[in-house]
This record gives sequence, structure tokens and C-alpha cells, in this order.
Amino acid sequence: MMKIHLGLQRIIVLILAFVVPACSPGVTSTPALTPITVQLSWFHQAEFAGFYAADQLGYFREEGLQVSFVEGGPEVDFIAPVVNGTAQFGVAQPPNLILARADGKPVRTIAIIYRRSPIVFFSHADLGITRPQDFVGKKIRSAITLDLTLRATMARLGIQPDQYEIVYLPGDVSLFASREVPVWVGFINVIALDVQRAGYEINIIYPDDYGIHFYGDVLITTDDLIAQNPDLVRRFTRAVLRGWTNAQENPETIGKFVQKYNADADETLENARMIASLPLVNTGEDYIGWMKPEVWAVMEQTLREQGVLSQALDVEQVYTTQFLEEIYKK
Amino acid sequence: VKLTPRLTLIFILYAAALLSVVGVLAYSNGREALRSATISELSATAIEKQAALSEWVERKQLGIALLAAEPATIDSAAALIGAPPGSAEKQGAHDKFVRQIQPRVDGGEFMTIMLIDPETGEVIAATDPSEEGKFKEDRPFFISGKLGPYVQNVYYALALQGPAMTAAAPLKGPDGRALGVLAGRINLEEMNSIINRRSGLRETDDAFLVNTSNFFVTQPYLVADPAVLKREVHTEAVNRCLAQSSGTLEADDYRGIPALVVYRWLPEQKLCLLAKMDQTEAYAPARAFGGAVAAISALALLVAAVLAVALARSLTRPILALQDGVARFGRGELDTKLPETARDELGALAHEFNKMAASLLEKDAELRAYAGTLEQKVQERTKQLQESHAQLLRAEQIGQIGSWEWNIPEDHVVWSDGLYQVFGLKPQAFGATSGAYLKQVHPQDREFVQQSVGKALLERGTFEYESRIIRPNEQIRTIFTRGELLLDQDGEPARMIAVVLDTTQRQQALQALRESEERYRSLFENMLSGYAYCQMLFEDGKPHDFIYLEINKAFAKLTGLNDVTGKRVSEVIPGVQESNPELFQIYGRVAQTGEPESFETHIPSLGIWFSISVYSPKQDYFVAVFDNITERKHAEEALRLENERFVRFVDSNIVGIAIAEADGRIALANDYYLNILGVNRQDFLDDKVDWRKFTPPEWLLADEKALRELGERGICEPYEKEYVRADGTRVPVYIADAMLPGPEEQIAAFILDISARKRAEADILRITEELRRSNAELEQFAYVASHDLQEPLRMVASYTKLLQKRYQGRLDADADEFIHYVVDGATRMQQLINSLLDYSRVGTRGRDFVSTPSEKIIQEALANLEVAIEESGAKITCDLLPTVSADATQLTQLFQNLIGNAIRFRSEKPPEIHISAAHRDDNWLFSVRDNGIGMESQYFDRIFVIFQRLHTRAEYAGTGIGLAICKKIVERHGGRIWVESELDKGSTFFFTLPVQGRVDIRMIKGN
Repeated sequence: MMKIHLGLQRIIVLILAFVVPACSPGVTSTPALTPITVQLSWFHQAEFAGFYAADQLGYFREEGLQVSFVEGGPEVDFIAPVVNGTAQFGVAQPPNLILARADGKPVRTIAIIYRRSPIVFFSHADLGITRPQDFVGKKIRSAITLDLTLRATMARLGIQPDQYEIVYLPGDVSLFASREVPVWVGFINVIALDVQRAGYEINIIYPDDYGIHFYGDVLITTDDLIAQNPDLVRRFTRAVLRGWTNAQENPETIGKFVQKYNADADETLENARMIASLPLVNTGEDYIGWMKPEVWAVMEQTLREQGVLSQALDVEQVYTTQFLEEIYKK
Repeated sequence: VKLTPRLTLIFILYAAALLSVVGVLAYSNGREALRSATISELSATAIEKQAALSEWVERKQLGIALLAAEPATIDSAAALIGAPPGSAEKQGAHDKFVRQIQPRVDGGEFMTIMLIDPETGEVIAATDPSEEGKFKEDRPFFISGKLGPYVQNVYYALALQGPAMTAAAPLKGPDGRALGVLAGRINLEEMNSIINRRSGLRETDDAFLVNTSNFFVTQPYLVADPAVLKREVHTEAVNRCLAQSSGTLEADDYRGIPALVVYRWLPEQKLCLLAKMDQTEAYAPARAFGGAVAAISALALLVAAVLAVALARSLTRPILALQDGVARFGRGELDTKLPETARDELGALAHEFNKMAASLLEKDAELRAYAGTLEQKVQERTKQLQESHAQLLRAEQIGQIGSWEWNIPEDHVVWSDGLYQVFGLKPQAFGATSGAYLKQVHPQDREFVQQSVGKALLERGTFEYESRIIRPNEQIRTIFTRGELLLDQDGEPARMIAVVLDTTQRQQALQALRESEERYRSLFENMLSGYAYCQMLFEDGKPHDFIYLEINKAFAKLTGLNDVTGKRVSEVIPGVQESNPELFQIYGRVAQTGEPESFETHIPSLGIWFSISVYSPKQDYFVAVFDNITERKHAEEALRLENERFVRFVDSNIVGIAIAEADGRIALANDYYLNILGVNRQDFLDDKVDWRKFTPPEWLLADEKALRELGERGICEPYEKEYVRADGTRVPVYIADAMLPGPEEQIAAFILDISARKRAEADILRITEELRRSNAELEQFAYVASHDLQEPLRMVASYTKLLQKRYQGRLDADADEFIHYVVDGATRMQQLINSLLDYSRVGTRGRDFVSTPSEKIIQEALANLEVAIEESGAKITCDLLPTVSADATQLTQLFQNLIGNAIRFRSEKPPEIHISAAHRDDNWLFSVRDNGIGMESQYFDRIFVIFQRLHTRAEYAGTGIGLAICKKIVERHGGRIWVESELDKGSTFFFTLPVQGRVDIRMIKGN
């Protein structure tokens, strides 16, 4: 009895010796932390919940990382900062990434965040627009991140680009309400959700129903970083996946996290965005963040068929499953 | 104290130990039995649900397979697939197929049934029309359903935003060819009701399914909100189950309440089945039983405790009584009696003790009585003395008074207690001689004190003086001393007695008063406000004049008036009664009523504005405190004027003016602007107007650009945009903004309604277009007319010439003359028509403009005119000429006509013609100057009109079209032509051509 007791005491002392200084609020500069910058693809919102959770819950710190985020926006090229090294990691859309790679930029995906694409088409329910064929002759609201999905869907159905008109508008509920542009492309958990919360009845059309099976947000970095510091990439990816797992399990905590980065964010709205994105992140197959090479192949083929990608690209250049395999082996 | 509880405790502990062992054993046995029973119950439920679920899924699979095998289904599907696309036949076959499968949906077996193209995965027909046209090419139910009957387990359907399950089977034609895949979406409500089926015997038992995404697939019984189906669940049981294991667990359920859970992993369905019951309910009987055991034990323990206390008491009570009695005696309670109730040894002991105590008590009483009287007397005397001394001391303290008495022959001084306090000394700190006394006095006052006392000694009188003393803590105090000399029987000084009063505080108060007065005097003299103390003079009870009694320095400085004290105001400021009657009314009122007043006034003779406060220190007197506020008044006036200008500027309504903020608020707007927006002023004042709402979406970008420019430069370039009013009409405006200074970041906007201009522009465009068309038509007409007229005319001319040739001189003279006229007329008409054709061709047959050096063109023209030049002996000179963009043929004709005219209209002198060019305002200005006959200015315009001539044909040949063609050529090139001339002094023709490309530097120098 006595021996065990002493042993326990020693363990507790040891634990305190390591844990207490790390937790102590007086210690602000821990020299061991590596500074990391992440380029987001849009403004701060629940779309990036897992990153915020990893930051707020100390997962990055536990991996020895000090992470800061750079907002994206409608006119922000979110791949360039990763290529030129201003940011070590970024969030991107697969079509943009594939095009960047085809353009010789050494970037690749290390994990998938939205394993189902959040991009949908929607319109006022009373307009009776129920399928992409109904878009012919109409104006369609789009944005850089959404364009390729729209074009791919239309091309898949044999509808020519001159049969519809793309209009670039901000994602503003009042613009949708004005009915100037009848068809909108947007994220199901962002503008489509805003519109529904504002009380508008809408018809939603899913590109997935028309043969377009794209991944949504993906996590990217450069070939250089993977080659030179695979350990850093692994630690960062591991913390991000932990963050997303936690966000999935506790969606009601996300609104508060978002407010740490964007004080104007509406907590209930951000929580609702997170809840709407649960099935996009967790599909019930494999693990959070996992990817399948065949989906990449299909995306590449789709982009080629519609003429967005002029030459065939070896899709293995676009992603690596190395880190997901290492992380989930344990 | 010790014995009773110890005995009691031992009894109780024994009883408690016995009872708890029995109780715990009974409770744990009961609980374990309940746990096993509950787990069995939950396991049975889970097994039953699993079996029911498998059976249900198989039924669904069979259902779709049977439907796919029905000949009617196959026939209608084959008809649909065989029909040519887009035909009415196809539509009919489609409707027939849907009617064929519809009963299965109406009967509730499936929610939707669809026929899918086996090649492309496209839905060809479906009971839900919105499914038609969608592609299912990657769905497992399609891929596996092609091969044989298949049920795709619960999956998350994106379009349904929730769980779904689909059964599918291949649809094969009679020849075995795959016609399609028949798929039916299963109603999960049925599964829900299978899983939710409950015995009803329990309150908190629940069963539900969770899929591999941790989503609830069936509604848990204890959660009413269907939104739970869109949420993940991460309880311990779910996590273990999704790790593909089965078992039981005591853990918190999805509501965070402790429960007993049985979980089963269903590998076929890839689902997790959970059955649970709250621990509170499962263990309720055990708890009830435990409660009963505890209650009985507690009761038994209570009885045991009472018995234990009683037993211990009976043993220890007599011993305790003896102990208590002895202890009380020891504390002095000598009348204590011990109980002698017991007849044992304790009783005898008590009896002897009581006897001893009684005799001791007696002696003690006698002693006490004697000591009491003695002590009382001593106390009374002491008290009287103390009171008397204290009274004296208190009196001295209150008055801060002391006294001393000096025995002069012995030089011994006696001080009262109060004096020690005045001097801040303890009695022993004083030497008790007159020398020692002097030591306490302030060194500067010692001599004076000695003199005062010495004088009293010499004069045998009294003395009094005020002096300073120094206390041991170095504090300086002022004291007042008054004393008297007492003489002995021989008349010699014997004693001196004095009373001393501490007057420090009074002295300090006096000093403070003096300082205060000085301060106020200094304030009075130095204050920046003017001050005048005056007496009001009344005449017939009305204020009439006043006299200055006292003024300060600022008075003179502010008013410029000097030496006014004692003078009347009517004397100091003549005419003030007339110019400022209010001054007298106010001063008079204040002087009489005593109510202070403030006012502002302007005194014209001084040219100064004053702000004046008046009060009255006593009846008929007043004090005026005033400031010169002339500058402030001027500033106020300037501000008012500025404001009026601004208001006029805005309200002139020559242009719309608004001051707005980026968030859409409008702080200020004039009528012009509100009229543009079509809003009335009331709505604007009620803050109902947001400028951004009046901009239609297509102009938002223009606004954004302007706002960005504003942010960068503070102003933005004027731009055009449109507003859309509430009634939908649009107003074109011309708008410019400027950022205003200030923290609100307001924007001043100047808006011009350009509807009228826009309409005018549209009108001009329309008219220009009409003109252009009409011109073109005219040209075409002229061309056609002249071209078509040529043919008949040529015939007339040819035959009349033939007539002339054959019959000249063979008819009479008149006939010859008439024929001559006909020939001449026809020839002229031919010339005219040719000219007209040339003229119309300038517009219709022109060539493209090419870059051509002017010299080359002039050489060409001169070559064409070679004969005329030679005949007339004309001398033609040129300056340096530019390269121009022109139709070279037409330009040659232009120069040819101008030079030709110069030769033709020559005077008697040999013609001299000079051609030059200069660069003027983006144009080349060419001139052709001659020394010919010239013309009067009234003809300057006429000569360019077609067929207009200044001279008869007899004087100068020509059709009168040359200059008209010149004008048309120049205008076609975008230039202008005119002439400057004087009769008999030659003419200069000017024309312009637009500059093309860079200008040769030599050309500029040349000018």
C-alpha cells in the first residue's frame, strides 16, 4: 500500500511540474511555439469552425504551433499567399486548386474539410425553377469560388455558356429578395441558409443530383513544406482534424468561437451554419478529413470535359493521403 | 462528562455496525438482481427490434423486386424506352408507366419510385416529377441494383437533408436486356415506428438507431424535436457501438442522464441499435427497498441509543452529584449542601462534608461585615478630592487658561495645571524660577516681556502683554498675560500673580482675515472683468442718472474711460440716457429690488458690446461687473451670416444637395434632391429615407467606385447614374461627392437631374440619324436622277447635233438660230448633269482615307492643269506641306478646283498663286491665295452653293459646281472651307483637314 501511494505522489508531482508552467497565464512567450499563418477562402465564419476550435481549445499549442488566420473575400486570391509563402496553409476549392496546379503552382491538398460540396443552386419557390434546364435564358448569380461548379453542371447537361448569363453579386439577402437575378449559386450553409432564415421559400437544386460530385473546402499546402518539414504538416493537420472532430460533436460552441475572430458575428446564426454543415464534414464513411483518389480523378475529368482544364493533369499531383494515413494509423 | 458518553457511544456503535452490514448486503443483492432483470429486458427488446428490422428490410427488397418482375411494369417501361424522344408517344408512354407504378406509392409501400436509365443513371420516369432528369449514376443502390435486388442502407440524402433508404432492382425486358433500374425510396417512418414500438410498462425505456455519421436515424422517444435527426450524438455507448461492438453499459444517455444501455452493432445495416432505460427507473425498487432498510435501521439505532443513555446515567449520576457539590464549594459557594440520599459510603461522605461547610460559613460572614464599613469611608473622601481637582482642570482646559504665582524674594514660581498645558510642558520640565520661565518665551519677545514685568515692579502696578512662546515641540503659540504685583506689610514687592490666556487661535483668525481682504482687493484690481460700484439717482421715482463710486483697473481698460470716480454717467458718456435707456431701467430695478440680473448691451458712443451682471449691495446702490464681448458678437454675427449663406446655398435648389452618411442616412437634403428621389419632406424628416435604396443594382458598382475614390481623395469625379423612385420611374442624374470634415465622415453630394439633357441628347441623336438618312437619300436621288437623265439627254444632244450638221444653211436663218440654241442648251444641260453627278459622287463614290503627302497631291493637280497654267503664265508657289489622311483623288480635285479658279478668275496681271499650310487646333489649315479679281464679302457664302455663279457664262466659263464640290469634299474629310477676299485685290481660300498622327516638327517651326 505504502509503496503505491508514494509512487502516485511522485507521478502527480511530475505531472504538475510539466503542466503547471504551460498553463500558467503569466507565461506569455513560450519560445518553442512555431508561428503558422493560414489563408482562409472567405470572411471569418463557421465555415472554418474546426480551425477556430483547434485554436481556442489549445490543440495547436499542444502541437507546438502558434496559428494566426488571414481572412479571404470575394476578390481575394486565396491560393497565391500559400504559393508565395506568406501563409503556410490555406483553405481552397478543388477546381481552383486543380487549375492552379495545372498552371504549375506547387500546391496540394492534405485533407478534405467538406467531403460533400456545400454549393447549391436556389431560387424563389414561386418561380417554379426545379432543374438546371430551367436556368436557360436567365441571369445567374455566382462568384469566383462557385463558377466552376455552375459551369460544370450546365456543361454536363449540354447547356451552352451563351444560353445563360452569369452575374457577379455580393451574397446579400436583399439582392436575392429583389428578384433581379432569379437563380443564385451559393453555399447551402451560408447564403442559402441566410435566405431561408430571412423567411423566403426557396427551391434548392443540388449539383450532386446532376453528376457533379465535387469536394468542398480542402486544406492545402506546398510541395516544399511537405518535403522539408513533414512533421510540421502532420502536427498541423492532426490539430485541425481534432478541431473539426470537436466542432462536429459540439456545434453549439462554434458561434462563440467565431466571435473571437469576428466580433460582429451573430452567435445563433453561426451555430446554425455549423449545424447545417455537419453532414458535409462527416459523411459516415471513413474518417473526418479523408479523401478518395477516384473523386479527384472525377473532378479532373469533369473540368477537362467542360473545357476549363485544357490539358489532362496527373491528379496525383493535386493531393497526398500521406498525412491522413499516418494520423489515422494510430 | 467522560463516563456517560463513552458508555453510550460504545453501545450505539455496536448496534450501528450490526445494522449496516445487514442493510448493505440486502440492498446490493436487490440492486444486482434488478440490473440483471433490466439488462435482460433491454436485450430482449434489442433482439426483437433487430429481427423486426431485418424482416422489414427484406420485405422492402422483395417488394421492389416483385414490382420490377411484373409483366405490366416491364411492358410499360419497354414502351417508354422504345418511344422516340420528344414525341407525344413518349409522353403518353411515360404517363402510362407512372400510372402503372403509382399504386405502390399511394399504398404507402414506397415514398417515390423511379425508373433509371441503366447506362447514364438518369431518372427517366418517377412518381415524383422533381426526380426526373436527375442523375443517380454514382449511388450504390443504382450500381448494385443493376445486378440484382438491393437495399441501400440508411444514408444521408443531401437533397432530403436527412436520412434515407432506397431499395432497387433491375428491370429486364423479355429478351433479358436491361431496360433500367427500378428504385423505390423507403418510408423511414415505418422503421421509426418499428424501433419506437414500446411495451408501455416503463417510463424511460427507449430504443433508437444511429448511423456511422453519429446521426440519429430514428427519433428517440424522449426527444420530441425532429431536428434531432440532423444532429450528431456522441455518447459513450454510441462510440463503443460504432467501433462495431455490442454490450451493455451504465453511462449517461443522450440527455446526459445516467442510464442502463444495451447496444448492438448491426453489421448488415451498418447501424447501431441502442436500447436504454434511466437508472433512476431501473433501480427504483432497489432504492425503495434501501430506503425501508435505512429507516428501520435508523429507528432501531434510536431505540438502542435511548437505552444506552439510560443505563449509563443510572451508573454515573450519584458520583457526578458529589463531584459537582465539592466543586461549587471550592469556587466559594459556601452554602453548598451535598445530597445525603444514598445510604452507602457516598451518603456518609456527604454528611461529614456538610457539617464542615456549615461552620466555615459562619466565620466568613463576621469578617465581611467589619471590612465593609472601613472601606466605604476611604472611598467617599477620595472621590470628593478627585472631583474638585478635575473641575479646576476642566475649566482651565476649556478656557485655554493658566496662572502663575511668583514668590519674588525666593524667586520661586508656582504654575497651575492649565499653564503647563498652555506651554505644552509636563510639570517636572519646568525649573520654577523666573529665568526658567523666560526660556520658554520666544527670543524676540524676551526683552519686551522683561520690560513689561520690570515696569510693573518699579511702578508697583499691574501689567499685561501679548507675547509668543515656544513649546518643546517647537510650536509657536501666542499668549496674553495679565498680572498684578502684591506688596508685603513693608510695601515691598512680595508676590506677583498672573493669568495667562492662549490667544493663538484668535491671532490666527485675525491674520487669516487680513490675508483674505488682501486677496480680494488684489482680485478686484487684477480681474479682467470691469467693476463699477455706483449710486443710482432717481427723479420722480424713475432712475435718471448714476454716480461712479468705485471702479477697478479693468474698467478703464475695457471702456477706455478714465477718472470717472465721483462723476455722473451722463457726464462721462454723454447721450447715454437716450441711446441706452434699458441700462437705466435695469440698474434702477436692481438698485431698488435687490434682485441680481444679467444682460448684454451695445453702447454706440463707445462702439462696444458689453455682457453685464448687476447686483445691489444695498438700497439705491448697485455693482456692475462686465466684460467686453464685442469680438464674440462679431464672431456670432459672422457665423450667422455664414449659416444664412449656407442655407441660401442649399435652398437655392439650383442643384440637388444632400449631406449623407455611408450607412444610407441623410442628414440634410434640399427640395431639389428630394424631388429627384420622389419623396416628400415629411418622410425625410421621419428618417424613412435611405439613399442607397434608390440606386438600382446595376448602378451599385458605380456608387462603390465613387465611395472608394472618396476614401482615397476626399472627392470623387462627377459621374452619371440613375435613381429609381418608389413608383419605379428612373431619373438619370449627374452626381459628384465630397467628403466633409468631422468624425461622422459625412459626404456632401451634388446631384443634377439630367433627364432633360438626356432627353435632348436622345432627340439630337434621333434627329442626326434622320438627317443622315435624309442626306443619304438625297444624294442617292441626285445620283440616280443625274445618271438616268443622261441617257435621254444624250439622245437629244446627238440628234440635234445631227440635225445641225445636216440642215445648217438649208433651212431659213431663224431655223439655224433655233437649232443653235437647242444644241447649246443640250450641251449645257449635259455639262450640268455631269457636274451634278460629280457632286453626288463625292458622297457616294468616295474612297477610304489613306496617308498621303500633300506635295504629291498638288503635283497631280498641277499636272492636270498644265495647259491652263501654261496659257495664263501663272506662277505657283508652295510652302512646306504636311502629310494628311485623305481620299487622294478627291483631295486632288479640291486643289485642282481651287487653283483652277484662281487662274480662271485672274485680273490683267499674270496670276500668282501661293499654297501654304499651318497647324491650328488639331487641324491643318490650308490656304490658296491668288492675286485675281477678288469679290465682295456679300458673296462669300453664296459661291459655295451649287450652280451659283457670280459672273455670266460669257465672262467666265463653268457650271458653278466647282466650289460646291470643294465644300462637299472638305466636309467629307471633317473640315471646313471659307474664303477671304476683297474686290480687285485677290482672294484666299482656306480649308481645314484633321491632323492625323504626329505633326512634323518643321511644320510647327514654320509658323
